[in-house]
Amino acid sequence: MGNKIQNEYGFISISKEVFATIAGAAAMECYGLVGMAPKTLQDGLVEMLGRDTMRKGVEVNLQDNGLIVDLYIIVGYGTRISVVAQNVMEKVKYTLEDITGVKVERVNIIVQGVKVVD
Amino acid sequence: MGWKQLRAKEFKKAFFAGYSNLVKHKEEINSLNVFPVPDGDTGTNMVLTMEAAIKEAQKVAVPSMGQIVAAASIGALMGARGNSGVILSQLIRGFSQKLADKDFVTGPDLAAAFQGGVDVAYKIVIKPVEGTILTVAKSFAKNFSRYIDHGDSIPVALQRAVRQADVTLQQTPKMLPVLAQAGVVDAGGKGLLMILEGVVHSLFGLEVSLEDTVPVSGPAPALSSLAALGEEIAFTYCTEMIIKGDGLAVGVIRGRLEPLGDSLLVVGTDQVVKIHIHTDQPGDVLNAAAGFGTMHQLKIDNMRDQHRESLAEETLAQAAVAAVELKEIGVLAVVAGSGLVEIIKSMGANEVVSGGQTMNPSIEDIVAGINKVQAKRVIVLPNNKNIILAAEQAAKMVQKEVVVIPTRSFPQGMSSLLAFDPHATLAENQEKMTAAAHQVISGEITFAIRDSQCNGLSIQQGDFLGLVNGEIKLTGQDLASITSGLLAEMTAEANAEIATLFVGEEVKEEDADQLLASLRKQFPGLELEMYYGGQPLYYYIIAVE
Repeated sequence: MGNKIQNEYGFISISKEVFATIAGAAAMECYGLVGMAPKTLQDGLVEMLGRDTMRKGVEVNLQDNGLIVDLYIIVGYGTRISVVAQNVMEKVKYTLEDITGVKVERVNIIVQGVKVVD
Repeated sequence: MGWKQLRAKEFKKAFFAGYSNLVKHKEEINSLNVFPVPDGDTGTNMVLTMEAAIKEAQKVAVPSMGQIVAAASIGALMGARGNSGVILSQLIRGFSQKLADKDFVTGPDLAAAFQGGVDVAYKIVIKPVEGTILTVAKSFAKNFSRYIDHGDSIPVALQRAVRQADVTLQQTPKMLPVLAQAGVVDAGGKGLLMILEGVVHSLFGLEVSLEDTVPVSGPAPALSSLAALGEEIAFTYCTEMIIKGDGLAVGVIRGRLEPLGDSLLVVGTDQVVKIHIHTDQPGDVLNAAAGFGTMHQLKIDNMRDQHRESLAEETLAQAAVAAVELKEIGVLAVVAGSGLVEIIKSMGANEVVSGGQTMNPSIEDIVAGINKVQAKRVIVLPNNKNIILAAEQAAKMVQKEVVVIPTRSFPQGMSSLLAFDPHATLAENQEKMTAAAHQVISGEITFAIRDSQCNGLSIQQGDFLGLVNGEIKLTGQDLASITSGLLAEMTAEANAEIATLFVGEEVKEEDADQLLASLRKQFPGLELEMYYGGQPLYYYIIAVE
């Protein structure tokens, strides 16, 4: 699996949740993104129960050749969505690879909503 | 100068001057990137965003203040590129909202508008990062308002606020650790400051020379010249139709329509003719056309409503394409450098979009390129990792069936193109060409734009950098030894047989010849070839197979 780093002392294994938290935190720093959307109804319920986490709207899959990250985002009204999405992709990929050293194969953006903030 | 208010004309001029000053400092802003290779494009992105805003503002026929800013706001939104471009578009949007119903603006109006820009820009992010363009904008707006309250005239308050914003900019490395590590100030903030500085110059009557602002180097074609920006739309209606009849004479029809407008295009056969014209009298065009035969697929657009002239260009291109026979599969490549363009064309690319590391073509550029390829299906070779995504987006926006082979460098694109088979299906080609792209090792030699640390290497500004498949492997002060070192690295593994070097535009011919001779001695088992590539920024691009 792509999330194990082997060295002379043993191996380092990073759990999916860690990747998801980092990805969520990185995404939230991106300009134009005003929120993360729950992926499913079940997630929506979890959120209503007040267990809001950084991982909301983030799905991470581990593949042999790297991570595949799906982000469910809400963008601010009046921004160019394609550019905002691309910025989020770049930022999340860079941050994940920089912090964990694990290669990111794809970052998929699903724009779930547009929010009018003014 | 004691101006207490600004009219539309002065405002427009000031806005333009802001853009001009930004263009002047584009390269400087690009160099403030936080990664060591020269792929910084914050300056370019901001210039393109401002350019789109200005183009749109130029289209306003009878300019009132509110209309100009509203048009600029739409233009900036549509043309926004990169992170800094998006933020800039939001600053302009908030700014324009406050001035929507004004004929002229006073100091307090402007202060409210600047603050409005900052407010909107801050709303569209969850966690505003300080030490960026946002911080600089906030400081500027706050100080401008303070000086206006003190009774300063608009130009004086602007000048003093710009000075304060510069102080803030100099503090950005203290707020954002990545900037401190890289030893630079924030590029977006610097860009904003340059725009505001241009505005101040304009209001004080220090004309910013336009000649100086025309981009000097790089693959300029994608960037429209300032002359083109100043050009007003001469005719209002874009009129298109197809005429069907017997014995239609293209020449006669053209002669009849020519006096009615410009951008005239008449193509077709003696039974079907397609007409495209820009005119102020669409009625006359219809009357004239009706005399030749029956009219079909009539379309009349008000061009002043259109967001971009590129639509018309596309129609023209499509019309031209329709007139000739289409191939089954064609190839579009993205390449920078006159030599490389020729090479890729000679290898079978049907069309080339100019672009590369520092000048990524827009999605529209690629769409236009795909439409120009005279084929039903198109294979796109982006040849740069930053362009792959735009190419994939473009692929979804055209009528043709398009496949993007994710080539990350010129050598990959070349290798991929060699595997192209015009008689195979699109899917077969995709498989073969993708596989072929990975059979080549790509090397690049460029220079560091500032000091940094990377991959355990200590890099000084101006050092040569050797990259293999996009990663920095070598650094040093001697171009020849870096090149041979890089070649040794590239040929170390695998059983490399052929190495091809493409010489960049900055390398002297005799230096290249000398290098080739010495490399031939060093690598006797290797078949070495050298071509003129003419690519900017990269002294040598090397392909090893």
